[in-house]
Amino acid sequence: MGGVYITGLGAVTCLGSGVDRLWHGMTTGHSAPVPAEDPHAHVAQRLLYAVPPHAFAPSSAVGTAGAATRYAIESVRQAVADAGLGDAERRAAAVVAGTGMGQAGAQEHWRLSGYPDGDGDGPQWTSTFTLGAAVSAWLGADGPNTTVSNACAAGACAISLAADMVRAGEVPVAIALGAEAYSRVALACFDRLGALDPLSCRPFTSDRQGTVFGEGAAAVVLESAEYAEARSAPRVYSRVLGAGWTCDAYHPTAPEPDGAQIARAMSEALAEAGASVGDVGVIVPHGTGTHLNDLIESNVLAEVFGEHAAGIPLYSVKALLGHTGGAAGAIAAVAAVLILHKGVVPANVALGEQDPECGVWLPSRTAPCARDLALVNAYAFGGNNISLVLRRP
Amino acid sequence: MSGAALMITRCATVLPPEPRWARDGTRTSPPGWFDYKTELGPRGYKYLPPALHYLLTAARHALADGVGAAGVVLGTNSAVSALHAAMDRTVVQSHSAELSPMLAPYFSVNLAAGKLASEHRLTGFQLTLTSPRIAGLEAIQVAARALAMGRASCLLIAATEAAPDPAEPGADRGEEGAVVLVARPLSNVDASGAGVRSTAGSAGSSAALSGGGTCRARTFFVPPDAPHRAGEALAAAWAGLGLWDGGSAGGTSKWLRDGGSAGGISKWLPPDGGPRIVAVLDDSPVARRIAAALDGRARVIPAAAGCLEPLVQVAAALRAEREATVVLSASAEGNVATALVTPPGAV
Repeated sequence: MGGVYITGLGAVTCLGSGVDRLWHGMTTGHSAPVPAEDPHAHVAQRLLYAVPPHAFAPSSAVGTAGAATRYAIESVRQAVADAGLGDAERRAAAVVAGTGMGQAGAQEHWRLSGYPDGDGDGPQWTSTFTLGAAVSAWLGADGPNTTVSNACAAGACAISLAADMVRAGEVPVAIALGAEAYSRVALACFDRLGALDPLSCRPFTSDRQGTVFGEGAAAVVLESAEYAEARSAPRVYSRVLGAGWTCDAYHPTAPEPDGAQIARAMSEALAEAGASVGDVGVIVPHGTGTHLNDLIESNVLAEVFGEHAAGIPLYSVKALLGHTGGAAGAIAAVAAVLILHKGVVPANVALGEQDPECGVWLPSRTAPCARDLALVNAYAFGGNNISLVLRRP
Repeated sequence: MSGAALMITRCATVLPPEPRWARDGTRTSPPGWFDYKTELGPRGYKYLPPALHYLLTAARHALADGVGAAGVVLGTNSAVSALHAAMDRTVVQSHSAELSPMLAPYFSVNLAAGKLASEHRLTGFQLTLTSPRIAGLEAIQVAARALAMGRASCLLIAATEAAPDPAEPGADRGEEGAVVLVARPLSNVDASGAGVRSTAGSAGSSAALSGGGTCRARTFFVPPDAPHRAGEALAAAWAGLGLWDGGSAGGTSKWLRDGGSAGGISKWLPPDGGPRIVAVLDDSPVARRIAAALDGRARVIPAAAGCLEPLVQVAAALRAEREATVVLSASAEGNVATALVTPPGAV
């Protein structure tokens, strides 16, 4: 069998900690954003799908790390345990972390309360993007460590980059994750751009007014088939079969109107997977709740999937968890893996009337996932597009 | 396991005038060393962070003479650091309504590569790597893998940095400038006529590498609480790069067998010395162990705050006449990257 195996999963979301909580939330459809608890954030819209404060007990090793790093390490802890990785695999593992803002939330806190003391060697500038390194340090891993910051596509990029490392034979095991936490700067910039919905994240609805940020992290353990089989991995959830990376090269924030590059990302992912559109049983769209994004993604899905489009169910993760930024692609991938694994597409969160211009099928009742492939889309500011094709083992 | 190699056909830099650093390691770039209006034109670039000015200028140099590319792999640590701090002050002291709508999108660090992509219609893809200190060197490895897997036929490899917010600890060691390399798969380049043709502008310089230089890079991680593992990991990475004929001559294998992590590389290096080694290192425990493993065989350059200097050293090595160079760098957080750079004359 081709592709790279997914043998472990982890997730931290507004629903709490753990993949079981994520799936339970997906099947019950209950969530709600809350006002961001930041008295210093002078913004018009401040809703957030926040990770509950006591969702998990953070590792004692995280020190002064910010929330994004704590979420990242917790999701990786779950995934590593789920995959049954031993000390040797943990030490050899590559880590690829996707995050848009990294430790920005911690930096914002330090800006007001003072920076933590250094290590005694004089003041050292600390990058916002230390999240991936913190994960490898926690694991005690020697393998390559990459942090990729392609904004809201970063989590999916991390999975694709990690899968490529495994495919290239550079490492036998890679851990890919996406993580994001509240950032005052990110919230304020979206607020300034008028891109935040005052009610909730309502992708593909008629009266959507923008997105609503969420916090969270998700992690997957990726292995070559040979390695997973040799070590008798407890289970294989799914396989990463293909990925398509493209760039609009069009505008800082607006998607290319004809969606040519997001269409190419989907087509290239399917081609790399050796699959056809008729093989896809579920699509986890990017679908942020912003007017243009949802409209263009809907149009391109109709174009790429043609006569099959109407019969392929979509599951909108953001309708449940909000837009988790750099974690979104990884959380979407974990959701897609769960759908393939369970064989069921949960009912989408009931959000109101669907936009008739968004001609996609968002089942309001549980539907079977009748085919073996899932397509995951993730897009970002700067015209970054990535599509992943996952397959049941 | 060896890192895929790629061919560099052109490199361009935009850097402050030398010397860029004082003896104590602080930045010395004179005010006004870079004028975006002179380099990019009077219109359309006002509302961009400085790191984008540097990057776009270097890319124009690199893509002169009709050179094309499909995508970009960019490394940066501090491109939007100062912007974040300024925006944060506005939101805390005033309101988000006071933010510039033109600058607001650039809170997202990937907008640097995004702007570059839109300026040159790089629809292949763009990746923004932010791994501390090594993201520039790492971009070589990621680009080589992407080219080998057919995700593009020609890529830009870049690093750009801008001075962090002055209020942040260590900000006076922040970097300014950009490097852009044009990379292709080895098989796609005519290797005849090797040589370097350099040009210089007011703030940047560019070199066309006729015949192409080659680069390959490897990355690994040294847990900061286990810095003693640095030497062994470095040896494995260099074996992966194919240095010294790998273990076939007994060198690497012997070093590892002998417990190379406890000693330096001198007993492993060939007697004639091998390539020149340039190490961009700070004073962290990880970097100190790397430096110790290098046994004084490397020229050590004090690391600044970002990921630019290691790629600056790659560009310098590509412009060297004949000498192969190993460039390496490490972060206090544990990221380590090393690249083997072979200039055109030595291919």
